[in-house]
Amino acid sequence: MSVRSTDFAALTDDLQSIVNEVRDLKIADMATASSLFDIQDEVRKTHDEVILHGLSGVEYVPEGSDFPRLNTEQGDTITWTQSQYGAIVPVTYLMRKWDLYNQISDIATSSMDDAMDKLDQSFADMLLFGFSASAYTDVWGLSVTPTGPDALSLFTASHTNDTTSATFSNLINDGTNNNPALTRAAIVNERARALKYTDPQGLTRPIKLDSLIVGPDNEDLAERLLFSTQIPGEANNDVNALKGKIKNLKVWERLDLRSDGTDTSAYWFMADSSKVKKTLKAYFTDRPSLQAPELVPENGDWEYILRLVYSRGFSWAPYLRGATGVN
Amino acid sequence: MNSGVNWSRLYTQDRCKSIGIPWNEEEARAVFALKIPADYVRQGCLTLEAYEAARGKREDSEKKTGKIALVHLKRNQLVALCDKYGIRTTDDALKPILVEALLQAGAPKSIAIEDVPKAED
Repeated sequence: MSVRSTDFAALTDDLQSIVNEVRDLKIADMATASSLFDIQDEVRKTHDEVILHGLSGVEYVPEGSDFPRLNTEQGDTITWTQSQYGAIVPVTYLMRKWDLYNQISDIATSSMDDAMDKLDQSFADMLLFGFSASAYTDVWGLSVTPTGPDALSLFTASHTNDTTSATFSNLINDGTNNNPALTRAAIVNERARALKYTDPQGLTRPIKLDSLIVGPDNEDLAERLLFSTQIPGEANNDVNALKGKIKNLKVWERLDLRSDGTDTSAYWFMADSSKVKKTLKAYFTDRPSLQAPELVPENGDWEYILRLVYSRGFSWAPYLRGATGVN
Repeated sequence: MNSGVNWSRLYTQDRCKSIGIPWNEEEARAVFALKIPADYVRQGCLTLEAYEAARGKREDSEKKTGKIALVHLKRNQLVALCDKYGIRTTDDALKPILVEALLQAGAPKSIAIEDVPKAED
Protein backbone atom coordinates (compact mmCIF):
# COMPACT_ATOMS: atom_id res chain seq x y z
CA MET A 1 0.00 0.00 0.00
CA SER A 2 1.50 3.33 -1.00
CA VAL A 3 2.50 6.06 1.44
CA ARG A 4 -0.11 8.81 0.97
CA SER A 5 -0.03 12.51 1.74
CA THR A 6 -2.14 11.83 4.78
CA ASP A 7 0.63 9.57 6.09
CA PHE A 8 3.13 12.47 6.20
CA ALA A 9 2.92 13.03 9.96
CA ALA A 10 3.18 9.32 10.75
CA LEU A 11 6.16 8.83 8.41
CA THR A 12 7.88 11.90 9.84
CA ASP A 13 7.48 10.61 13.39
CA ASP A 14 8.71 7.22 12.31
CA LEU A 15 11.78 8.52 10.45
CA GLN A 16 12.72 10.90 13.23
CA SER A 17 12.47 8.13 15.76
CA ILE A 18 14.67 5.79 13.68
CA VAL A 19 17.20 8.51 12.95
CA ASN A 20 17.34 9.59 16.59
CA GLU A 21 17.99 6.00 17.56
CA VAL A 22 20.92 5.87 15.12
CA ARG A 23 22.19 9.17 16.49
CA ASP A 24 21.99 7.96 20.09
CA LEU A 25 23.84 4.76 19.22
CA LYS A 26 26.56 6.80 17.51
CA ILE A 27 26.78 9.14 20.49
CA ALA A 28 27.40 6.08 22.65
CA ASP A 29 30.23 5.17 20.26
CA MET A 30 31.60 8.70 20.62
CA ALA A 31 32.31 8.16 24.31
CA THR A 32 35.93 9.30 24.00
CA ALA A 33 35.07 12.58 22.30
CA SER A 34 32.27 13.18 24.81
CA SER A 35 34.65 12.64 27.71
CA LEU A 36 37.27 15.05 26.34
CA PHE A 37 35.16 17.87 24.89
CA ASP A 38 32.98 20.28 26.80
CA ILE A 39 29.89 20.07 24.58
CA GLN A 40 27.38 22.84 25.17
CA ASP A 41 24.46 24.56 23.49
CA GLU A 42 25.01 28.05 22.13
CA VAL A 43 22.29 30.32 20.78
CA ARG A 44 24.62 32.88 19.19
CA LYS A 45 26.54 32.48 15.94
CA THR A 46 29.86 33.08 17.65
CA HIS A 47 31.26 32.08 21.00
CA ASP A 48 33.75 34.42 22.67
CA GLU A 49 36.17 32.49 24.82
CA VAL A 50 38.08 34.47 27.44
CA ILE A 51 40.85 32.87 29.45
CA LEU A 52 41.10 34.05 33.03
CA HIS A 53 44.38 33.55 34.81
CA GLY A 54 45.40 33.56 38.40
CA LEU A 55 42.49 34.31 40.64
CA SER A 56 45.11 35.68 42.99
CA GLY A 57 43.87 37.46 46.07
CA VAL A 58 42.98 34.78 48.61
CA GLU A 59 45.07 36.00 51.50
CA TYR A 60 45.42 35.97 55.26
CA VAL A 61 42.64 38.12 56.72
CA PRO A 62 43.31 39.47 60.23
CA GLU A 63 40.31 39.63 62.56
CA GLY A 64 38.25 42.73 61.94
CA SER A 65 39.80 43.36 58.53
CA ASP A 66 38.00 43.59 55.23
CA PHE A 67 38.34 40.70 52.89
CA PRO A 68 40.43 41.47 49.80
CA ARG A 69 38.69 41.43 46.45
CA LEU A 70 39.60 38.51 44.23
CA ASN A 71 41.81 39.63 41.39
CA THR A 72 41.55 37.90 38.04
CA GLU A 73 43.81 38.61 35.12
CA GLN A 74 42.19 38.52 31.71
CA GLY A 75 44.26 36.41 29.38
CA ASP A 76 43.91 35.74 25.69
CA THR A 77 40.63 35.72 23.84
CA ILE A 78 39.39 33.80 20.86
CA THR A 79 36.13 33.73 18.93
CA TRP A 80 34.71 30.55 17.42
CA THR A 81 32.14 30.87 14.66
CA GLN A 82 29.58 28.14 14.11
CA SER A 83 29.08 26.56 10.71
CA GLN A 84 26.12 24.69 9.32
CA TYR A 85 26.36 21.16 7.90
CA GLY A 86 23.56 19.15 6.42
CA ALA A 87 21.90 17.40 3.53
CA ILE A 88 18.49 16.93 1.99
CA VAL A 89 17.17 13.47 2.69
CA PRO A 90 14.65 12.88 -0.09
CA VAL A 91 11.62 10.68 0.18
CA THR A 92 10.71 10.66 -3.49
CA TYR A 93 7.27 10.41 -4.97
CA LEU A 94 8.00 6.96 -6.35
CA MET A 95 9.44 5.69 -3.07
CA ARG A 96 6.13 6.60 -1.51
CA LYS A 97 4.02 5.33 -4.40
CA TRP A 98 5.70 1.93 -4.38
CA ASP A 99 5.96 1.82 -0.58
CA LEU A 100 9.76 1.38 -0.59
CA TYR A 101 9.89 1.79 3.16
CA ASN A 102 13.26 0.01 3.49
CA GLN A 103 14.86 2.46 1.09
CA ILE A 104 13.25 5.39 2.85
CA SER A 105 14.50 4.38 6.29
CA ASP A 106 17.89 3.31 4.92
CA ILE A 107 18.53 6.67 3.29
CA ALA A 108 17.56 8.49 6.49
CA THR A 109 19.65 6.34 8.85
CA SER A 110 22.68 6.37 6.50
CA SER A 111 22.64 10.14 6.40
CA MET A 112 22.69 10.36 10.20
CA ASP A 113 25.42 7.71 10.30
CA ASP A 114 27.49 9.82 7.90
CA ALA A 115 26.93 13.01 9.89
CA MET A 116 27.90 11.44 13.20
CA ASP A 117 31.01 9.76 11.76
CA LYS A 118 32.16 13.08 10.32
CA LEU A 119 31.38 14.88 13.57
CA ASP A 120 33.46 12.41 15.56
CA GLN A 121 36.29 12.60 13.01
CA SER A 122 36.23 16.41 13.20
CA PHE A 123 36.84 16.12 16.94
CA ALA A 124 39.62 13.54 16.51
CA ASP A 125 41.26 15.69 13.82
CA MET A 126 41.61 18.51 16.32
CA LEU A 127 44.06 16.31 18.20
CA LEU A 128 45.66 14.73 15.14
CA PHE A 129 46.25 18.05 13.35
CA GLY A 130 47.26 19.64 16.65
CA PHE A 131 51.01 19.51 16.11
CA SER A 132 51.22 22.22 13.46
CA ALA A 133 49.56 25.61 13.07
CA SER A 134 49.26 25.17 9.30
CA ALA A 135 45.74 25.21 7.93
CA TYR A 136 44.20 21.88 6.96
CA THR A 137 41.07 20.76 5.15
CA ASP A 138 38.73 19.11 7.62
CA VAL A 139 36.44 16.16 7.11
CA TRP A 140 33.66 18.53 5.96
CA GLY A 141 35.93 20.01 3.26
CA LEU A 142 36.45 23.33 5.02
CA SER A 143 39.80 24.97 5.61
CA VAL A 144 40.63 25.05 9.32
CA THR A 145 43.33 27.12 11.02
CA PRO A 146 44.25 25.00 14.03
CA THR A 147 45.47 27.73 16.37
CA GLY A 148 44.39 28.53 19.89
CA PRO A 149 44.10 31.83 21.71
CA ASP A 150 47.91 32.23 21.77
CA ALA A 151 48.08 31.67 17.98
CA LEU A 152 49.96 28.43 18.47
CA SER A 153 48.98 24.87 17.66
CA LEU A 154 47.23 22.71 20.27
CA PHE A 155 50.45 20.87 21.13
CA THR A 156 53.54 23.05 21.26
CA ALA A 157 56.69 23.45 23.31
CA SER A 158 56.15 27.14 24.16
CA HIS A 159 52.52 28.01 24.90
CA THR A 160 52.33 31.66 25.93
CA ASN A 161 49.88 33.73 27.94
CA ASP A 162 48.75 37.35 28.00
CA THR A 163 49.84 38.22 31.54
CA THR A 164 53.42 37.06 32.10
CA SER A 165 56.36 35.81 30.06
CA ALA A 166 55.98 32.27 31.45
CA THR A 167 55.57 29.50 28.89
CA PHE A 168 54.63 25.83 29.13
CA SER A 169 54.95 22.81 26.88
CA ASN A 170 52.20 20.26 26.39
CA LEU A 171 54.24 18.09 24.07
CA ILE A 172 54.82 14.77 25.82
CA ASN A 173 58.49 14.39 26.77
CA ASP A 174 60.25 11.22 27.89
CA GLY A 175 63.03 13.07 29.71
CA THR A 176 65.10 13.52 26.56
CA ASN A 177 62.86 14.10 23.55
CA ASN A 178 59.51 15.61 22.74
CA ASN A 179 57.07 13.42 20.80
CA PRO A 180 58.38 10.05 22.06
CA ALA A 181 56.82 6.74 21.13
CA LEU A 182 54.42 5.27 23.70
CA THR A 183 56.67 3.89 26.45
CA ARG A 184 56.50 3.50 30.18
CA ALA A 185 59.32 6.04 30.63
CA ALA A 186 57.45 8.65 28.63
CA ILE A 187 54.25 8.18 30.64
CA VAL A 188 56.13 8.34 33.95
CA ASN A 189 58.08 11.45 32.94
CA GLU A 190 55.09 13.33 31.54
CA ARG A 191 52.95 12.47 34.56
CA ALA A 192 55.62 13.91 36.86
CA ARG A 193 56.08 16.98 34.68
CA ALA A 194 52.34 17.70 34.79
CA LEU A 195 52.24 17.33 38.57
CA LYS A 196 54.86 20.11 38.76
CA TYR A 197 53.02 22.44 36.37
CA THR A 198 53.11 26.09 37.40
CA ASP A 199 50.53 28.66 36.28
CA PRO A 200 51.47 32.02 34.67
CA GLN A 201 51.94 33.52 38.16
CA GLY A 202 54.42 30.79 39.05
CA LEU A 203 52.16 28.97 41.54
CA THR A 204 52.29 25.18 41.38
CA ARG A 205 48.94 23.88 40.18
CA PRO A 206 49.27 20.11 39.81
CA ILE A 207 47.71 18.53 36.75
CA LYS A 208 46.90 14.88 37.36
CA LEU A 209 47.18 13.08 34.03
CA ASP A 210 44.92 10.13 34.74
CA SER A 211 43.84 9.27 31.18
CA LEU A 212 45.78 7.73 28.32
CA ILE A 213 44.24 8.10 24.86
CA VAL A 214 45.49 5.91 22.02
CA GLY A 215 44.40 4.53 18.67
CA PRO A 216 43.69 0.82 18.10
CA ASP A 217 47.29 -0.04 17.11
CA ASN A 218 48.59 1.06 20.52
CA GLU A 219 45.79 -0.54 22.54
CA ASP A 220 47.58 -3.76 23.43
CA LEU A 221 50.81 -1.99 24.42
CA ALA A 222 48.89 0.60 26.43
CA GLU A 223 46.97 -2.06 28.37
CA ARG A 224 50.18 -3.87 29.24
CA LEU A 225 51.92 -0.66 30.28
CA LEU A 226 49.07 0.45 32.52
CA PHE A 227 47.53 -2.68 33.92
CA SER A 228 50.29 -5.33 34.25
CA THR A 229 51.09 -6.13 37.85
CA GLN A 230 54.82 -6.08 37.08
CA ILE A 231 56.81 -3.90 34.72
CA PRO A 232 56.10 -5.26 31.25
CA GLY A 233 58.97 -6.38 29.04
CA GLU A 234 61.60 -6.41 31.79
CA ALA A 235 63.34 -9.32 33.46
CA ASN A 236 63.14 -8.00 37.00
CA ASN A 237 60.12 -8.37 39.21
CA ASP A 238 59.54 -4.73 40.15
CA VAL A 239 55.91 -3.82 40.65
CA ASN A 240 54.30 -1.71 37.95
CA ALA A 241 53.87 1.54 39.86
CA LEU A 242 51.76 2.99 37.05
CA LYS A 243 49.00 0.49 37.80
CA GLY A 244 46.11 2.39 39.32
CA LYS A 245 47.55 5.82 38.59
CA ILE A 246 46.43 6.14 34.99
CA LYS A 247 42.85 5.08 35.59
CA ASN A 248 41.35 5.60 32.16
CA LEU A 249 42.57 3.99 28.98
CA LYS A 250 40.58 5.41 26.09
CA VAL A 251 40.92 3.72 22.74
CA TRP A 252 39.63 6.13 20.09
CA GLU A 253 39.16 4.26 16.83
CA ARG A 254 39.68 7.41 14.77
CA LEU A 255 43.16 8.20 16.05
CA ASP A 256 44.96 5.83 13.70
CA LEU A 257 44.01 7.69 10.52
CA ARG A 258 43.71 11.42 10.01
CA SER A 259 41.03 12.71 7.64
CA ASP A 260 43.71 13.55 5.03
CA GLY A 261 44.73 9.88 4.95
CA THR A 262 47.92 10.24 7.01
CA ASP A 263 48.77 7.25 9.20
CA THR A 264 48.70 8.59 12.75
CA SER A 265 48.69 5.27 14.56
CA ALA A 266 51.77 6.23 16.63
CA TYR A 267 50.10 9.37 18.03
CA TRP A 268 49.10 9.20 21.70
CA PHE A 269 47.74 11.59 24.29
CA MET A 270 47.35 12.06 28.03
CA ALA A 271 44.73 14.12 29.84
CA ASP A 272 43.52 15.20 33.25
CA SER A 273 39.94 13.93 33.12
CA SER A 274 38.73 16.52 35.61
CA LYS A 275 40.08 19.49 33.65
CA VAL A 276 40.45 18.52 29.99
CA LYS A 277 37.04 20.01 29.19
CA LYS A 278 38.53 23.41 29.98
CA THR A 279 40.77 22.83 26.97
CA LEU A 280 38.54 21.22 24.33
CA LYS A 281 35.20 22.84 23.56
CA ALA A 282 32.29 22.41 21.16
CA TYR A 283 29.20 24.57 20.87
CA PHE A 284 25.99 23.55 19.12
CA THR A 285 23.12 25.68 17.92
CA ASP A 286 21.55 22.61 16.31
CA ARG A 287 22.56 19.13 17.40
CA PRO A 288 22.24 16.57 14.60
CA SER A 289 18.58 15.97 13.79
CA LEU A 290 16.20 15.25 10.92
CA GLN A 291 13.84 18.13 10.28
CA ALA A 292 10.56 17.70 8.44
CA PRO A 293 9.92 19.69 5.23
CA GLU A 294 7.66 22.68 5.52
CA LEU A 295 6.72 22.71 1.85
CA VAL A 296 6.23 19.93 -0.68
CA PRO A 297 8.00 20.62 -4.02
CA GLU A 298 6.06 20.38 -7.27
CA ASN A 299 7.58 16.99 -8.06
CA GLY A 300 5.87 15.52 -5.00
CA ASP A 301 9.09 14.55 -3.18
CA TRP A 302 9.25 15.07 0.56
CA GLU A 303 12.59 16.69 1.33
CA TYR A 304 13.65 16.16 4.91
CA ILE A 305 16.70 18.08 6.10
CA LEU A 306 19.45 16.61 8.20
CA ARG A 307 21.20 19.51 9.87
CA LEU A 308 23.77 20.29 12.50
CA VAL A 309 25.26 23.65 13.41
CA TYR A 310 28.32 23.78 15.61
CA SER A 311 31.79 25.15 16.28
CA ARG A 312 34.78 23.58 17.96
CA GLY A 313 38.06 24.85 19.28
CA PHE A 314 40.62 24.71 22.02
CA SER A 315 41.37 27.07 24.83
CA TRP A 316 44.00 27.03 27.66
CA ALA A 317 45.81 23.81 26.87
CA PRO A 318 47.96 22.39 29.70
CA TYR A 319 45.35 19.75 30.61
CA LEU A 320 45.90 17.78 27.42
CA ARG A 321 49.30 16.43 26.33
CA GLY A 322 50.22 14.87 23.00
CA ALA A 323 52.99 13.08 21.15
CA THR A 324 53.37 12.05 17.53
CA GLY A 325 55.47 9.08 18.63
CA VAL A 326 58.23 9.77 16.10
CA ASN A 327 61.10 9.84 18.63
CA MET B 1 36.75 25.82 13.73
CA ASN B 2 37.14 29.18 11.99
CA SER B 3 38.69 31.10 14.80
CA GLY B 4 39.06 34.75 15.59
CA VAL B 5 42.41 35.03 17.28
CA ASN B 6 43.38 38.53 18.46
CA TRP B 7 46.34 38.73 16.09
CA SER B 8 47.14 42.43 16.48
CA ARG B 9 47.38 42.10 20.25
CA LEU B 10 49.57 38.99 19.89
CA TYR B 11 51.78 40.82 17.39
CA THR B 12 52.34 43.83 19.64
CA GLN B 13 53.28 41.39 22.42
CA ASP B 14 55.73 39.61 20.05
CA ARG B 15 53.73 36.40 20.39
CA CYS B 16 53.34 35.77 16.67
CA LYS B 17 55.50 36.33 13.61
CA SER B 18 52.99 38.47 11.78
CA ILE B 19 49.25 38.95 11.51
CA GLY B 20 47.93 35.50 10.64
CA ILE B 21 51.35 33.85 10.89
CA PRO B 22 52.19 32.04 14.14
CA TRP B 23 55.73 31.32 15.30
CA ASN B 24 56.93 27.88 14.24
CA GLU B 25 58.64 25.67 16.84
CA GLU B 26 62.16 26.96 16.06
CA GLU B 27 61.10 30.60 16.08
CA ALA B 28 59.11 30.16 19.29
CA ARG B 29 62.18 28.60 20.91
CA ALA B 30 64.33 31.55 19.78
CA VAL B 31 61.88 34.12 21.16
CA PHE B 32 60.77 32.46 24.39
CA ALA B 33 63.69 30.22 25.40
CA LEU B 34 66.70 32.07 23.94
CA LYS B 35 65.08 35.49 24.53
CA ILE B 36 66.19 36.83 21.14
CA PRO B 37 64.27 40.05 20.33
CA ALA B 38 61.29 39.21 18.16
CA ASP B 39 62.24 41.67 15.41
CA TYR B 40 65.50 39.77 14.86
CA VAL B 41 63.69 36.42 14.85
CA ARG B 42 61.28 37.84 12.26
CA GLN B 43 64.36 38.53 10.12
CA GLY B 44 65.51 34.90 10.46
CA CYS B 45 67.87 34.91 13.48
CA LEU B 46 67.12 31.63 15.24
CA THR B 47 70.32 31.22 17.29
CA LEU B 48 72.19 33.49 19.67
CA GLU B 49 75.15 33.48 17.27
CA ALA B 50 72.99 34.61 14.36
CA TYR B 51 71.42 37.29 16.56
CA GLU B 52 74.79 38.63 17.77
CA ALA B 53 76.08 38.72 14.20
CA ALA B 54 72.99 40.55 12.91
CA ARG B 55 73.09 43.03 15.78
CA GLY B 56 76.80 43.71 15.23
CA LYS B 57 76.23 44.19 11.52
CA ARG B 58 73.41 46.63 12.20
CA GLU B 59 75.47 48.64 14.72
CA ASP B 60 78.42 48.76 12.31
CA SER B 61 76.19 49.92 9.51
CA GLU B 62 74.54 52.60 11.65
CA LYS B 63 77.96 53.87 12.80
CA LYS B 64 79.34 53.87 9.27
CA THR B 65 76.41 55.51 7.49
CA GLY B 66 74.91 57.52 10.35
CA LYS B 67 71.53 56.19 9.26
CA ILE B 68 68.98 53.84 10.80
CA ALA B 69 66.55 51.67 8.85
CA LEU B 70 62.84 52.40 9.28
CA VAL B 71 62.22 48.79 10.34
CA HIS B 72 64.43 49.36 13.40
CA LEU B 73 62.50 52.38 14.67
CA LYS B 74 60.04 52.10 17.55
CA ARG B 75 56.34 52.26 16.77
CA ASN B 76 55.86 55.74 18.24
CA GLN B 77 58.83 57.01 16.25
CA LEU B 78 57.20 55.67 13.10
CA VAL B 79 53.90 57.32 14.05
CA ALA B 80 55.75 60.65 14.49
CA LEU B 81 57.36 60.19 11.08
CA CYS B 82 53.97 59.40 9.56
CA ASP B 83 52.68 62.71 10.96
CA LYS B 84 55.59 64.41 9.21
CA TYR B 85 54.60 62.81 5.89
CA GLY B 86 50.92 63.65 6.39
CA ILE B 87 49.84 60.07 6.95
CA ARG B 88 46.94 59.66 9.37
CA THR B 89 47.32 56.66 11.70
CA THR B 90 45.30 54.90 14.38
CA ASP B 91 46.35 52.74 17.32
CA ASP B 92 45.49 49.67 15.23
CA ALA B 93 48.28 50.30 12.69
CA LEU B 94 51.15 47.89 13.39
CA LYS B 95 54.83 48.61 12.75
CA PRO B 96 55.11 46.85 9.36
CA ILE B 97 52.02 48.73 8.13
CA LEU B 98 53.50 52.06 9.21
CA VAL B 99 56.81 51.28 7.47
CA GLU B 100 54.96 50.34 4.30
CA ALA B 101 52.87 53.52 4.43
CA LEU B 102 56.02 55.64 4.86
CA LEU B 103 57.77 53.96 1.93
CA GLN B 104 54.69 54.46 -0.25
CA ALA B 105 54.67 58.12 0.76
CA GLY B 106 58.23 58.46 -0.50
CA ALA B 107 60.23 58.11 2.72
CA PRO B 108 63.72 56.60 2.33
CA LYS B 109 64.37 53.08 3.69
CA SER B 110 66.86 54.55 6.18
CA ILE B 111 66.94 57.96 7.81
CA ALA B 112 69.74 59.96 9.44
CA ILE B 113 69.99 59.19 13.15
CA GLU B 114 69.64 62.89 14.04
CA ASP B 115 66.31 62.97 12.14
CA VAL B 116 64.77 60.18 14.23
CA PRO B 117 61.79 61.66 16.10
CA LYS B 118 62.16 61.63 19.87
CA ALA B 119 59.27 59.37 20.78
CA GLU B 120 59.25 56.45 23.19
CA ASP B 121 57.01 53.36 23.11
